[in-house]
Amino acid sequence: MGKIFKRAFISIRRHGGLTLASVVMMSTTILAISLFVITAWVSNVVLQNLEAKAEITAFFSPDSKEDAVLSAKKALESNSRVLGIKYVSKDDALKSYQDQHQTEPTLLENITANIFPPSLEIRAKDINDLPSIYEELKTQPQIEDVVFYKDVVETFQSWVKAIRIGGLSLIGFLGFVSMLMIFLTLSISIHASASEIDILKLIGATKGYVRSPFIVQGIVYGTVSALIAALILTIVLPLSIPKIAPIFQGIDFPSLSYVTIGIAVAGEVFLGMVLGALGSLLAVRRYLRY
Amino acid sequence: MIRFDNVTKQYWDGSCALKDVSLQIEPGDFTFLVGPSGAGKTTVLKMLIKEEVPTEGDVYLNEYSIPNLKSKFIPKLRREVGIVFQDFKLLPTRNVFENVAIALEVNNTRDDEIKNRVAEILSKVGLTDKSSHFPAELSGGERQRVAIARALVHSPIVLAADEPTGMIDPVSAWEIMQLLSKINDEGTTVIVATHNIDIVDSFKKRVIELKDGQIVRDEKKGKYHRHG
Repeated sequence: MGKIFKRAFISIRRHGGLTLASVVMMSTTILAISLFVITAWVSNVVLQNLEAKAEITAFFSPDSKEDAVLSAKKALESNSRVLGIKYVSKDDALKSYQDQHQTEPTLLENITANIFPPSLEIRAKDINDLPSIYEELKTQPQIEDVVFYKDVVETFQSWVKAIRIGGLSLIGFLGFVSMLMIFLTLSISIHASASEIDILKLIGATKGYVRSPFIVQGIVYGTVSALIAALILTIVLPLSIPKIAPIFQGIDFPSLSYVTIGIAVAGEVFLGMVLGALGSLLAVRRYLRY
Repeated sequence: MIRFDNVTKQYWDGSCALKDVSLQIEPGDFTFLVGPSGAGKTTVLKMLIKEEVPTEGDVYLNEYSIPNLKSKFIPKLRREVGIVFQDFKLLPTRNVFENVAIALEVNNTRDDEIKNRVAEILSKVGLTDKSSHFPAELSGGERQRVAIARALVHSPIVLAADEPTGMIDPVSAWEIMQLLSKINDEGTTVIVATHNIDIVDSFKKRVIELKDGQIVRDEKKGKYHRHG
């Protein structure tokens, strides 16, 4: 094994320029893939938050009796698509209004609970059921208005979908380019060692003996590239998070433990190794035929 | 035993390296392949290690058909048939010891075994004191002895030498031939493709003459020329 590594490192050293180009290309790829994974994770968290907060508010007329609203609530609770309902009384509505306009006393003058309609805030088990619940509520006579910010959720859903499709295409493309780079680098390494390889074959070297240093070479490129990408992320992310965080105010992000970060780095290294191994396997299969 | 059964080798451009060649070489034989350049001597040797395959006919090493050998068995074949080239084919960045040792390394032989076996074989070819020298520091004759040592390190049943004296001075050439003769005396089948008239004539061994890819002469104790 030691001899295989020794031969691999000799080959890496011999082709310094190409090694650098391959590692830069692969690091960029793995960095881009990591950034995509982070973006996808953030959008998923945002989407989950939005979905959790997505609800329909049904406003009753201000003169509706509390009993009538509560019986409507009870009827809705028996609906299998409904996850939960919150009753907001006239007083609750006033309190909420007052809280929102604490700093604007003129807006609070002469305001009483009577002018606020009681309402029900309805959340669905599945966000996709919200539109049908919305339509049903609109037909009920005691309900004066139904508010549902479906556009916001739908727009964000389509964004997340686009990010996923675009990101996966990007990963596919960059992964392919990376593999191609490793393939080309190793092809050149193999060609440069052609006479040595011919001699080894003539004296009875097994396929594995001839091929293994080049496969190790590809794996080393992938591993080093992944570690460089992880290092860049470790430096850049903590610096950029404070600048990006205000955009996501109000969104609850699960905290990242060292174990999660460790798994992410290990995943990057694994990805690098796989890309390196695939690129090198393609090259040895193409150029080291027996 | 080596057997060529009606072997023809034709290339895609229509040129023919061998035409209907049949021959048999018994274990322990010493055989010279002679003939002008392009006669097909090297092709015969290459077929012994499946470096070339016939377009027609078959080549046997003992009972095994070499052209039909699966690629995974080629390394083993090449350890059974040691080959020596005119241009030595040594690795310039490795010293004498390493150039011989690599033949065992490729076979995953243990380090201590490699050390003992290489020392033994270098002593046999008279290069013990040159084991740490690099090929560039050796004479042509010494380089060829390294190549022979490398071919011998697996104790092959056949040693095939393609113009082994072609790039060395006459004195060294004679030494190389003495060494090959000694190896043959120890039981290894030796096949030498050569242009060296003096050597062929003085050895009085079997001579197979090829011309334009065909065997034109096969004599048990022959000379380079039919009428020489």
